Amino acid sequence: METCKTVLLVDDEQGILDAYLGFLSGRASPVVRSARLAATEEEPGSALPDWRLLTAGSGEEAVNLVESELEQDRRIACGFFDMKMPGGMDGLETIRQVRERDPNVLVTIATAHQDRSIDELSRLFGADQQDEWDYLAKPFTKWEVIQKCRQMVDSWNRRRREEVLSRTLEARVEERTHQLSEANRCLEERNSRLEEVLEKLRTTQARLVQSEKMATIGQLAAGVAHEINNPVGFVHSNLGSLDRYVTAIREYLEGVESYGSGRQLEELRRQLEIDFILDDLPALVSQSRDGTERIKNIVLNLKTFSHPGHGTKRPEDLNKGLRTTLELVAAEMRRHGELEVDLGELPPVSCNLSELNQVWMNLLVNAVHALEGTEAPGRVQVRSLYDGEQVKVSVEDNGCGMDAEEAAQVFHPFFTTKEVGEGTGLGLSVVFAIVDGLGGRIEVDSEPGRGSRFTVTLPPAHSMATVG
Amino acid sequence: MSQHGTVLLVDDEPHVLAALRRCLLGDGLRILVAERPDQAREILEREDVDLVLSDFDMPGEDGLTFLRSVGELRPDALRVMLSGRADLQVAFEAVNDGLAYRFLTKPWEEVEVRLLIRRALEHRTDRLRVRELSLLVERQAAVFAQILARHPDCRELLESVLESQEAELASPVGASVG
Repeated sequence: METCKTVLLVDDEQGILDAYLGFLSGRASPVVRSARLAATEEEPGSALPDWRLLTAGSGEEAVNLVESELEQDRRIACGFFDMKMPGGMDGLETIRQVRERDPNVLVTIATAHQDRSIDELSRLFGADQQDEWDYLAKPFTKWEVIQKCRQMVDSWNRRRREEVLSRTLEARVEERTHQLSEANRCLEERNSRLEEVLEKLRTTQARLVQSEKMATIGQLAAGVAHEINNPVGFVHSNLGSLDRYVTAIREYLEGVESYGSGRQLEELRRQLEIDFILDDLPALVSQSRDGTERIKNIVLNLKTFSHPGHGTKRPEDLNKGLRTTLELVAAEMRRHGELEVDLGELPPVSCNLSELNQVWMNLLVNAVHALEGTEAPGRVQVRSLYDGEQVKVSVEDNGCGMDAEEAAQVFHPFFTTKEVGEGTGLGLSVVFAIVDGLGGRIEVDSEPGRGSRFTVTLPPAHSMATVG
Repeated sequence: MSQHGTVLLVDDEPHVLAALRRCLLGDGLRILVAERPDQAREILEREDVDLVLSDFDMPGEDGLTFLRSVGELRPDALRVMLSGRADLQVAFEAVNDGLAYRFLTKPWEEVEVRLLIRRALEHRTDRLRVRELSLLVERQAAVFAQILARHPDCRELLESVLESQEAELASPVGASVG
């Protein structure tokens, strides 16, 4: 920023103006000397700044100068004003009008006596701008004038620089604030996008868990279909046979009515195989009854298995759920290998049986899958026991097994050792979540070629009660 | 009773065997039953079985393996599968690969089982008859060739005999055999 060095000198006496010019330009002035103002002072010479000095012989002239300077886009830093200028505007009015046009002009008045003009000037500047005026007592010395001029010009320039600096700072602060708020907005936007993504992930996860549940039910349905098709098959077929038996018996009874007895009736009896029918009827009925009994049990088990129970937990005997699930899959499992079940006496565990049924189902189905394609005769062992502190349920197979790396990942979502399309890879992660939700844990112990053992450990209900 | 054929029923569930036996009662069939694949093979070794109706999912042995072993023991016995599975893919494949003549599903319809078995046995009889006849034709051709070699002047007579036989085969009575 360019330094402003323009100083306005206002006095109706040409001699005073000359004195100012002489002092401030460093050139001795005869007028000054005659005014006896600075006769004894030494010459300051080139030490003085090269101020641009404007002189005005009246208030009006001063105001005009200010206006024309402003028009030419120039500024005036300060002015020395005479207070008493008979025949025109007085100093006070001149200052008022000058400051009206350029409020930054700093003011020093030259006054002969400590008169009212200082009070008036003080009032004119008001409480906030008392540092923008000063006074010079007439007669003044050269150094007084130079010092005042230096102070005012420096002060004016300093103020401008500060203003610029302050404006720059403000602008910078504003810019920073803007940048910050922009950054903040970006962050908020990103945050809300992340939240959206998270929400989507949650929904997807929920859907996947649901689809895993459906997959379990699908596996269950396949097993159950097989279990149910046998009894339905023979009961249905037996009813058809019974229908034919009844027709034969009715025919025979009609024969009894028409023939009474004798060779013809004997022949009819043989032809209709009445003796075989009478012999077979009790077997037909009892076998069919056995079949419907089995269907009834499967349906009951299915109900127990899938009963949602609204997620409520109650103290339950884990063996109950284990038996239900085993009854549903045992027959299917025995097709793949031997099934050993050893259920010990257990204290109640606070849980939702149907939720845990999903756990047993998953472990059993996995065990059967592990048996597929192995040489040795397959064997699955299901055990439950209470060790005095914890309830433990283990499902062990002698199937293909896993290496340490696979075993470490087995509870991770989407990890699967099955072929694409055979498993969702969620089964054991859901199992893990269910067991974890009951304050229990699940561990796997596996060796390639030897098989795997999954152990679910759950706290009994009474220990949970004492904990919390 | 055995004039209509011998059927071997194989299922690990005795109640299923009993129900199937009842179902086929009165169709004039000789019925044999087995609860296990190895038991079935024992029967097949000593008995002339025309048709095997077997469950597909028996413990201890894969259904396809069993069907294959039946084919080795009794190449002429027809094999019909009985499947209780929800997924019939394996059953389709078994039929497509020629391991089974047909398949039935559990639960079955009495009429369906009886009809299928009757048709299957007819099919088998036809097949055996066709084989017999073609053997006969081959033998006859050989005899004709011998006669011709010895008496070339009989050609005309022999050709007229063959023509009359072909005419007989083309008649409705002959068509029912083919």
